[in-house]
Amino acid sequence: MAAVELRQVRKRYGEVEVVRGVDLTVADGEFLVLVGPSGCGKSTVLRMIAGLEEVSEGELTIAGKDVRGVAPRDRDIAMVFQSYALYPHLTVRENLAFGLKVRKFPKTEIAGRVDEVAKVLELSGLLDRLPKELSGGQRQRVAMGRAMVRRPKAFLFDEPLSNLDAALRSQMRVEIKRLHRELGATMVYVTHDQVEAMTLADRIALLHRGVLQQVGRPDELYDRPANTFVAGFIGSPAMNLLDGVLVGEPGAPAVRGPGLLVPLLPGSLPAEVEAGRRVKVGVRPHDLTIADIRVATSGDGFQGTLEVLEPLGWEVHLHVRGEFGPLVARVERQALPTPFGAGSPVRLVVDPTKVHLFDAETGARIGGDA
Amino acid sequence: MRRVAALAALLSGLAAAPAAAEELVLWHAYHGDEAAALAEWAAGYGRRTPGISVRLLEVPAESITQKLTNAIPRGHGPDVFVWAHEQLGAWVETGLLAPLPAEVEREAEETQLAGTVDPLVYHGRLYGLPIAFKSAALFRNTRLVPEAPATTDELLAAARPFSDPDAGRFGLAYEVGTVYYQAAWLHGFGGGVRGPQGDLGLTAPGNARSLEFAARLVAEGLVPADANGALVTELFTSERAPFAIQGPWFVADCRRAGIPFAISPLPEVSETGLPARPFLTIETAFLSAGSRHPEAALALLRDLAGPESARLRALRGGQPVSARAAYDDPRVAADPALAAFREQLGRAVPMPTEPAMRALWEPAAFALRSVLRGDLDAATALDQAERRFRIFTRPPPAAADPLPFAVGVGLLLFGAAVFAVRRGRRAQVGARMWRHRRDYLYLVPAGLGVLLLLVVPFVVGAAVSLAAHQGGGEFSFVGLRNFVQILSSADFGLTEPESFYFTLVVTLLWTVLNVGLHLALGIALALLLREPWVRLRGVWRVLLIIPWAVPNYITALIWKGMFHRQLGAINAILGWFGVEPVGWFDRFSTAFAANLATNVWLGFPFMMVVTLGALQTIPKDVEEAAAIDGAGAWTRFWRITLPMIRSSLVPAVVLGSVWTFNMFNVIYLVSGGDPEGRTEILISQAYRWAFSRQEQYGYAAAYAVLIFGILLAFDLLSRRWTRTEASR
Repeated sequence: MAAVELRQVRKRYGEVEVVRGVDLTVADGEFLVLVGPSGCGKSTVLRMIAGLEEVSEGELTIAGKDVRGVAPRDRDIAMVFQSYALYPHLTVRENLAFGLKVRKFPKTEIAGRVDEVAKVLELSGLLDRLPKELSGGQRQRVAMGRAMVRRPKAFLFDEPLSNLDAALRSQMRVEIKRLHRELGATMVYVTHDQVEAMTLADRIALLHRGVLQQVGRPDELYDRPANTFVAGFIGSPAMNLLDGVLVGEPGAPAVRGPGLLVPLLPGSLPAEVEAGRRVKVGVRPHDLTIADIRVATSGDGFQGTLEVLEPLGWEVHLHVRGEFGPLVARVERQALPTPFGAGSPVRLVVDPTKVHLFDAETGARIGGDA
Repeated sequence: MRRVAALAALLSGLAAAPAAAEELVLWHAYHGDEAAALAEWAAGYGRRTPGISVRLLEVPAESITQKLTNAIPRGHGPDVFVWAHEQLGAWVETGLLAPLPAEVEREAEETQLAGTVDPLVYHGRLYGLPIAFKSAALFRNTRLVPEAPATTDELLAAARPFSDPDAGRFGLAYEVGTVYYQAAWLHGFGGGVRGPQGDLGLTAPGNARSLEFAARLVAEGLVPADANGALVTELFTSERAPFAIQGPWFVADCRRAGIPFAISPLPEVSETGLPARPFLTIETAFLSAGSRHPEAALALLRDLAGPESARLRALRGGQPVSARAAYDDPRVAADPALAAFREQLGRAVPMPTEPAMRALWEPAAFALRSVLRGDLDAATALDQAERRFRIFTRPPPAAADPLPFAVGVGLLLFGAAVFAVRRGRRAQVGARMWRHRRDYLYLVPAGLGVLLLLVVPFVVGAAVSLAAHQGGGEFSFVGLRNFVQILSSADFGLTEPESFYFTLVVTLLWTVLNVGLHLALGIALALLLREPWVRLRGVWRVLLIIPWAVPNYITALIWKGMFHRQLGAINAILGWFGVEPVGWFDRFSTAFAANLATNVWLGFPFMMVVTLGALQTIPKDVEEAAAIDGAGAWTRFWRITLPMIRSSLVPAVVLGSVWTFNMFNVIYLVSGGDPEGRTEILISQAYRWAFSRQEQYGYAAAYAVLIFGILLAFDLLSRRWTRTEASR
């Protein structure tokens, strides 16, 4: 087991820089998920760790050893590919044994390890089949087994679940989590699916356009997103981000915008933030509640019209449009007023403690301790 | 049959006699000055003879005999054609020629030079008129050697001071390994290509001594060992050889080079006191048996052989013409070259016209070359050649009763038909075909093509393998005797090159080595082209496909030239490293290697292209997974890449094997079977039986059927192999 460390790592293809100075430490035994939209450079980072791509600039160490220029096979890592990359002409047993065989392990040890891994992954009955005779989930397990059997210093996963259907994917998520607990190995896991990231990770590293946006525990990224990108990426449905201007005295701050007025917690803003500053106000859909339209209170909240109502059983997604633009709220079905339907006027309010503020220019978080 | 057809054509020709202008068609293979002279004569004849026009058609020398054999019986051949007299016997036997009237023969004997008419008589009748003659003679550089040698001793004494093989200088340049030139020495030592009874063969006393004489010329470095026409020209015109033995066609080369030269008859052989007498070829105007205007054609023939035409051809075309009267012209008489060849005519031996002569060249050449190389002593070599010649010219096997065979084949076909009908009925093939009748209609043209181009020739070929060619296009049924003869290796010992099994082993070795090297080279280059650091990939890919894109006979001829002992690039390169010139075609190993190199060059691009395509189908991450799993490049190739492209390569290997197994062009054009036919493969051996060994078409067809059987078995085996592979 080993730690993986990246220092100002860059990757360039000719003129194009796809990874722009990433600093990242994966602790020994940690499960780190690299997440981000497609094309953000996350797979490239993983492939550099694997040795399949050269590092253009920066330092990369595994277990304290500089691995730049070291061949993949000499890095003692294992990788599970999105397509599984099983050897199509070899049986499951041969697939599992390949890495040990080329490393000249004694036959008895190979057989022992293969059987052990097969038992753990419930592949024992499939050992003599060819990959094409397996289902997607079985192939996925073989790919995992091929990595496990080697007992490497670190496991690398490149979107390993994206070719599976939803049910199988959640089942495999649990299984991978269990494996990590049992093996206690360092794992770096690449995905574009924030649900996978949230459920699996000890820590998440969120990449966008080759730049790390935020690294932290899943709840940290969820509760205190460092910028609008993280805020929009983590959480489903995504956080609402609306334009506004800071108004009021420092003692009674609020954000005002077209069709919206959001009071803020007094004292929640840093001293240097002044009224008149343009901001983005972020509210997670489930932090919104429906205010009684007939009760005219201070007029705060978000004033708009219901466009679409998506019933999801216990909860309902409301797509509301106002002068501020579109907005999604997630409320209990029970809380809906009657009659209520498309075209109904609606006012949504939010608890001031649940409001996130970001700079309108830079997108960086204002206040909080992120 | 053919004679009747010819007669009918003749009669109909007479009946249709000269109403309108008749066009007479004349085929020839002349080019350059000779063709121009002929054209001038033809135009003049048309003017002089009202109602007649002459159309000349220049036919390539390589194909004229075949075109004549095909065209004349079908009635679209020429009325008159000009070609060397050697073919006369075969053509009379196949009925291509009309005999000439007795008065024409008498006239020819009076007007033509002595020795030019007799060779055209076959079984007592004259079958053409001589128009010119050709033989070898001695060319001498008069600056280097002013006086013509009268004897071989004088010739060799004059030649010796000029010989320095290491410096590329030789005393005498001629194509020493060619029987045509050796003939002069054969006759000079009292031998020849006829035995004591006058029948064709190599047993004549003196032949062995003549071979030893030629071997001595090579051993002493007086004559370059594997000289071809190009080398002889090169040596003599660059004054690196004071003497050359060549024919009239060489005069133009010498004049163009501007060297001072003279031509004299070949010298007397000092050992015997007999003159060295070269083979004589009469260029003959033949009257086609298929002519529709035989009288007009005969008149044309006589004019072509007449004095006016001869003068024109001598002056314009530089031809040694046969009409006596031409030499009365002072300008003709003043030409020293014509005079010299006329003198040589008096000491030349006409080439035999019997069809069997064509089967003598190959064994005689084998004997000559093995003596020149010092592999065999002359007597043994001639004995072997004589034996080969006897086998090649043996009478065809006795006719067999086709009835039992026909009954057997009939029963077999009937059984197959019954089986097919029952299977078809069960699967309702008829009904289904009817339902899709329009679709089948669209398939008819392709189906007809396959039937005519594949099925019919195949069936005919298979049928011919059961027959023996009796000469003149007549076949007799012999059952499986051809196969028995081939497979029992009845005529040849197992280790003789003509034995089926010897050739089979060579063919298998040839195929395995070629395909192995094609694969190795093709895969290696494909893998290299895939490497990310390779620049200009597209350019390389095109360059590497070029050997495949060039027609293979051109490539074969280029490689043949490169392997030439004196002129070839390969010996020149080896020479830089101090390697003595290698006679590539003197030994089996080197001749085989030369063939192999040529065919590897021709074949690797195909495997490279197939491999490149197959590599595209391998997902990149599978190879990456192997790299992470711990496999180095070598292991990755053998354990992952190769197994994954194997299923694409197997069909290519099968195809490549079949092509290589039958790669006639390379064998025929590069080594030509040298030495002694040992580098022949089955297909080129079949060709020899058909075309240079007495037209044993049935025997050759049996070879072809055996080749088909071997390749079919190989294909079925490989299918089974890939099937088990796929079902794994």
